Amino acid sequence: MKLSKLLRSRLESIKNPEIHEILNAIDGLRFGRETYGIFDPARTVFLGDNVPVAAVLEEMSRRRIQHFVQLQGNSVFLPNLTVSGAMLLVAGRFLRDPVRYFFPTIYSSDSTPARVRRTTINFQSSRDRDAVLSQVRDFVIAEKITKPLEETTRIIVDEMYSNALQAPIDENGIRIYEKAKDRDQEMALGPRQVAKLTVANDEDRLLISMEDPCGSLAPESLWSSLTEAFDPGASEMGIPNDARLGMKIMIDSCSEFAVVSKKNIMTSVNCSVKLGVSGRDRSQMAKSLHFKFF
Amino acid sequence: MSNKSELVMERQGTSAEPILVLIGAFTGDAWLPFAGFTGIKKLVIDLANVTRMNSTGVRQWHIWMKGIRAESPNALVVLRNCPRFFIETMNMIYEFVPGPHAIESFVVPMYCADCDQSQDTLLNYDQSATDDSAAPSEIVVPEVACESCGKPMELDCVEKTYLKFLAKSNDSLLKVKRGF
Repeated sequence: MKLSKLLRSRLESIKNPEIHEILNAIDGLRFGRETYGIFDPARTVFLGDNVPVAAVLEEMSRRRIQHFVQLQGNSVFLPNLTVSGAMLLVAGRFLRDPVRYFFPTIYSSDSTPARVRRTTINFQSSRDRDAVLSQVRDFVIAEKITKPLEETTRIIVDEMYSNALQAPIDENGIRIYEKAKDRDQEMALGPRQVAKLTVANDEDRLLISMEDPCGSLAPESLWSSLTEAFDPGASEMGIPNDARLGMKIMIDSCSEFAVVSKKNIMTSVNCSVKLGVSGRDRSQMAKSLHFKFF
Repeated sequence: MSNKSELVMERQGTSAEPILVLIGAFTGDAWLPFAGFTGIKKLVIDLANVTRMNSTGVRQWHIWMKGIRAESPNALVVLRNCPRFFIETMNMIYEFVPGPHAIESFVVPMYCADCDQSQDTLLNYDQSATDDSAAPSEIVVPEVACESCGKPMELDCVEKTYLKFLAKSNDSLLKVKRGF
C-alpha cells in the first residue's frame, strides 16, 4: 500500500489545529522502502504492519530511530502518531501529562477532550504497594469496558511500581536499592519525592502511566534490557534479572509502549492497552514503541 | 482477588510426599523455606491461592525451586491449580520448574465476545495418559457458559502458545523415563 494513500485521508480528517502542529513535528514517515517527507532518524516515524517486537527493536537500533508505529487494519492510528509528535515537539509537557497525548481530540475543532476517565495515585514507598494496587483495581473494575483488564493492569502496575522504587540513585549514579539484600527493607523515595501512577481510559484504550521523580533511566540500560528480553535467537529466557523480565512483561501486555526520560528530573513509562477485544487478540497485537531521552 | 503481598506456605501430606499449599503473592517481599525436603519422592504444590507473581517473585520462585532441587534432585514436582499468570511465566522462562514435573490442573482463560467478559476455567490434566513424545496429548476444553448471557465462551488464548508448558512438562518426565 502506498504511504501517501495511507495517510492522506487520515490527515485530512484532523480538525484540531494543535494536533496538526504536533504531527508537523514529525519530519518523515517511512513504510518499507518508501519515505514521506524528510528522512532524519531522530524525527522520522517508522510504520510497520504487524512487525514482531524483536524485529522492531532491531530496526530501531540499526537506524537509530525512536518511534515505530504499527498500522491497525491497514491504516495509521492517529493517536499513535500524536504520541510520537508530542514526544518530539513538547517532550516536557508530554512527560508531565501523557494522558492528553494518548487520548487526543482529533476530529473536533474545539479542544473539548473526548470522554476520558482517569485516576492518579501518588506513592513514596514499597509499603504503599498493596493500597495502590487496590485503588487501581477499584478503578478498573468500576466500568464494564475496563473490567476484563483487571489482571493485565495489575501485572503492568506491579512492574512499573517496582521500577519506580528502584529509580533513586546516589551521588555516584548508583541505584540505592539495586543491591538491597534485606528482603524486609522498605524501599522509599526521598522525603520530598513522590511517584505518580495514572490510569486512564476512553472507549478504545486503557493507559497505565508511571512517573518517577528521578530521571535515572539511562538509554543504554533500557536498550540492553529490551534487546535481551526480546532476543530473537532465544525461544525462552533464562531466569533474567528483574528489570529485563519486567520490561518483557510490560510490553507483552500492551499494544503501545512509550518511555520518556529527562535526565535527573523525571521518567515516564506508559503502556496503552486495547479495550473491547479478547485476550487472545490482544496478545497477538503488534506493538508500537516510542523512546525519548533528553 | 486480593493484592496482599504476604506469602504463606501450609505443609500437608506426608513427610515423603508433602503437599504444599501456597497462599498469597510471589513479589519478593516474602520467602519460602526449602529445608525439610531431603529425600522426598513427590512434592505437590497447590497454587490455587497464589494471587500474583511479579518479576521479583519469579526470581524468588526460582531460588526456592533450586533449593528444593538441591535437597531432592529427582523428586516429582506436581503442580496443582496453576493460575494463568503462572502458566504464562512457565511458558516464557527456561527451566522455570527445573527437573521432573507434572501438571495436575491448570487454568484456561475463556472469553465471551458478546459481553466482553473474561472468565478462568480450571482443567484437570492426566499426564499419565500421554504417549512417549514431548507433545502434549489433546486438551479438551469443556463448554463454558458466559455468566452474563449464558452463551458458550471461546478459548481466550493462542492454544499452541499457551499450552507450551505441557510439552515442557512431558519432556521433563520423558527424560526421567529414558534415564537422562
